[in-house]
Amino acid sequence: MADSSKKMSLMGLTTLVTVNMMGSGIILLPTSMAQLGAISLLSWLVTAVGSMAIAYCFSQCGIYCPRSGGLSAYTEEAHAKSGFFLCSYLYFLSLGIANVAVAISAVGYMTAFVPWLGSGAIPLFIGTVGLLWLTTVANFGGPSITGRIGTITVWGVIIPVAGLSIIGWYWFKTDVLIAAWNPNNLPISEAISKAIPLTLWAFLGMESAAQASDAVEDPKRNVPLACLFGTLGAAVVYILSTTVIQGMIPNAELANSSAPFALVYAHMFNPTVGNIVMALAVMACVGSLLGWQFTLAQTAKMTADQGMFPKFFSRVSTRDAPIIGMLVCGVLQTLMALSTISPNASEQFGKLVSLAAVTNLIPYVTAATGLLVMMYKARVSKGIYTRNTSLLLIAVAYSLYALYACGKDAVFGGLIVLAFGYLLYGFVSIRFVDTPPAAQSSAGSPQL
Amino acid sequence: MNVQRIKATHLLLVGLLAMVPALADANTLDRVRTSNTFTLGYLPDLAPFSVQAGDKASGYAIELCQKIADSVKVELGLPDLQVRYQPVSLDDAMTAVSTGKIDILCTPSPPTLARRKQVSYSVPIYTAGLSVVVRQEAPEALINVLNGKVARTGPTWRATVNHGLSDQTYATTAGGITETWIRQQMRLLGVVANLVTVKNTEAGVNLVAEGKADAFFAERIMLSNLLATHPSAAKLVLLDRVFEYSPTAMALDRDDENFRLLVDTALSEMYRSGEIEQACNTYLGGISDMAKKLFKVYAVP
Repeated sequence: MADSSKKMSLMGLTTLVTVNMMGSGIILLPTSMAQLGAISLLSWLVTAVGSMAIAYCFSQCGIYCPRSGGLSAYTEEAHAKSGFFLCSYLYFLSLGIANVAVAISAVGYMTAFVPWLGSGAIPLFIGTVGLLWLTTVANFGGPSITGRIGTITVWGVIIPVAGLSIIGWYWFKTDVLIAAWNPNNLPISEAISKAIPLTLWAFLGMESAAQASDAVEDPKRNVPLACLFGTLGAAVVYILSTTVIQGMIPNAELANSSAPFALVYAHMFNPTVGNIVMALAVMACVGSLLGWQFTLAQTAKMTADQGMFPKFFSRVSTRDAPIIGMLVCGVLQTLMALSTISPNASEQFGKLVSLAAVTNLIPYVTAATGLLVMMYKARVSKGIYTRNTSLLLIAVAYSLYALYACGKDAVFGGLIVLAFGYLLYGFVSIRFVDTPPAAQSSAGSPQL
Repeated sequence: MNVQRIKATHLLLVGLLAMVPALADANTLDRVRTSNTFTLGYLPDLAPFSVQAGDKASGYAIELCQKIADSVKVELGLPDLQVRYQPVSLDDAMTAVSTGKIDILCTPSPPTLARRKQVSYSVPIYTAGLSVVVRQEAPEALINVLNGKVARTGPTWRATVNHGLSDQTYATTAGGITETWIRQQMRLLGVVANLVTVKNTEAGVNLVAEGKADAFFAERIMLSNLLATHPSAAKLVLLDRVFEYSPTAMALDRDDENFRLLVDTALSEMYRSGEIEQACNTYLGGISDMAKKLFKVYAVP
C-alpha cells in the first residue's frame, strides 16, 4: 500500500467528479437551453433523477465491491473476465477521444483571450496538443498533486457557475423568466422532448470517482460518497444556475450569446468582470481536462494490473503516477488532434466524439447490473435488495434511453467498436486459461 | 385662432391630396391613347428580370411587358403605339406608378399590403424564393442547419466540440421579411449568429466571398445570376434549398380595373400558351415542377 498522504481525499475526489462532469459542457448550456425557452428547465426533472439513480447504483457497487478496477470490477461480478476487459476497453476509448475534444473546445474558448489560437487550423492544432501535454505532464506529480490542482481550478466552476446560483437571485426577475418560458410557442410535449437531449448526457462522468479508487484514501468509504455528492452537487449547480440565468437575461439576448456566463456577469457588474468569469470558466475546463487525463491513465493502469492491457500502463513512479502509460496516451491523443487540421477530418472526429458517448454508456449498463450479483453474494436483506433493484432498473432504463438517443450513427459505430473488442479479448483471454493445453496435445493427438 | 389656422391648412392639404388622383389620370388606357406612348417602368439593375440596355431594356419581365404592350396596341387599335422604357429606382418605383409617370412596373415585386395602399397588382409573374449562398469550405454543421437539418446529430455532452456553430455571421438585404425570418430560424436550429444587413445582393455575395459573413440570404434567381459572373464564384455555393416562396407581380395603377383586366388577360394567355415557360427558359434557366404547377394557379381562367 502506498503511503496515504499521496492519495486523494474525499473532498478532492468529490470536486474531481463535479468538475469532470461539467467539463466544457456547462459553458454553452444556458444558451442552448434559452434557444428552446425556460420550459427546457423541466428536462432536469427527468435527467437529474435518472443520473442520481445511476450514481446511487455505482456507490452501492463501491460498497459491496471495494477491490480496484472501478466500473470494470463491478462489471466482472456479473459478466466475468470478458466483461472486465470490454468495459475497460470501451471506457478507455471513450476518454481517450473525449479528452481531445475537451481540449479542442477549451482552445476554442481561449481564442477570446489569445486571438492567435483562432487564426487558423495550425494554431488550433498547436493549442490543442499543447493543452493535452500540459495536462498530461501536470499529472506526473501523482494523485495528490492532481487533487490539489483540482481544488484550485474548481474555483473556475464555483465562482462563475455555483456563485451565480447563489448571488444571481438578487437580480432575478420572475417576469423575465415567464417571458422566456416558451418563446417558440411549441406544444409542451414537443418542447420537453426537444429539451431532454440538452441535459441527457450532462451527467456523464459521475463514474470518475470509481475509476480513481486506486488513488483514493479509504476507497470503501470515499468512492461511494464522492460519487453521490459529486453528482448531487453537479445537479444542484446545473439546475440553479440555468434557472437563475433565464430570469436575469432577456431570452432573445441569452439565446444568441456565445458566452452566457460572461454575459450574465457583465450584466450584474461590468464587462471586465464578465471577461474574468469567462477566463475562470476556461480554467475550469482545463482543470476538468486534467482530471480526465488522470482518469484515463488510471483506467489503463487498473486494467493492466489485471493483465488485460499492456504491462507498461501499470508501471508507476515513486509518486504513484503511471508516467509511461500517460506518455503513450498523450501520443495517441496527439495523433487524434491532427484531425483539427482539415475540415473534413474534423467532421470525422465529430463522429468519433459521438461514438465516445456510446462507449461511455455501455459500461454503465454492465457495471450497474453487476450490483445484482454483489447483493446476492453479500446476502443482503430483502428490503435492501428491493430498494437497490428498483433504483438499478431506473438507472439502466435511463442509460438505455441515453444510448438510444445517441442516434443511429453513433450507436452503429459503437457496436462495431464493441465487436472488435471481442477479437482483442480473444488474444487476452489466453492468459486466463488455468491448465496449459500444450501437455496433452503433444502426448497423443491424432495426426491428420 | 390657432385652431382655425390648422383647420385651414388641413383643408388645403385635403384639397391638394384630392387633386393627386386627378393628376394621375384615372384611366391608364386613355392616357396611353392621348399620348400615343406606353411607358414601361423597370428597375435597371435587377438581372435577370430587367436590365437597362441603352434606351431600351431587356430581361424576363421586359419580355412579358412587351407582350402586354402588344395587347394594348390591339385593344386600342393603335399599331404605331410608341413603347418607352423608363428606368426607376426602387425607392420611387411605387410613386412612379401611382402618379402615372409609368404605366406599369415591369420588374416584379411582392404585392404587400403596404404597397397595395398605393398601387394595384397584376397576377403573379414569378415566384420568388429565398435561398442562401455560403463558401465552398463551409463547415458541414452550417450546411446542415441551412438545409433544415439539425446542426449535428448525436449526443451533446461534455466532449461535444461546438466551435463550428458559434459566432457565425449571416447577411441579408436590409428590410423585408427575410430579416425576421432568419432570426426565428436561428433560435429553432440552435445557432448562435450575428445578423448583418447589406444594401443589395452584390454587396452580400461580396461579404461571403471575403469571409466577412458566413451565409447570405437573398432571392434565388438573382443569386444564381450574380454567381454566374462573379469573380469569386468558384469559392461560393448556392444551396438548393428554397426557404420561403413569395409570388411577385407587376405593379400598376390602383384605380384602373380596365387596364388591370387587360394586363391579366394578356398574362393568363401567355401562361396557357407556354410563352411564359419559354421566357423562363430563356432568362431564368428553366423552371421547377413546382413553378409549373403554380402557373396553373396564377393564370386566371
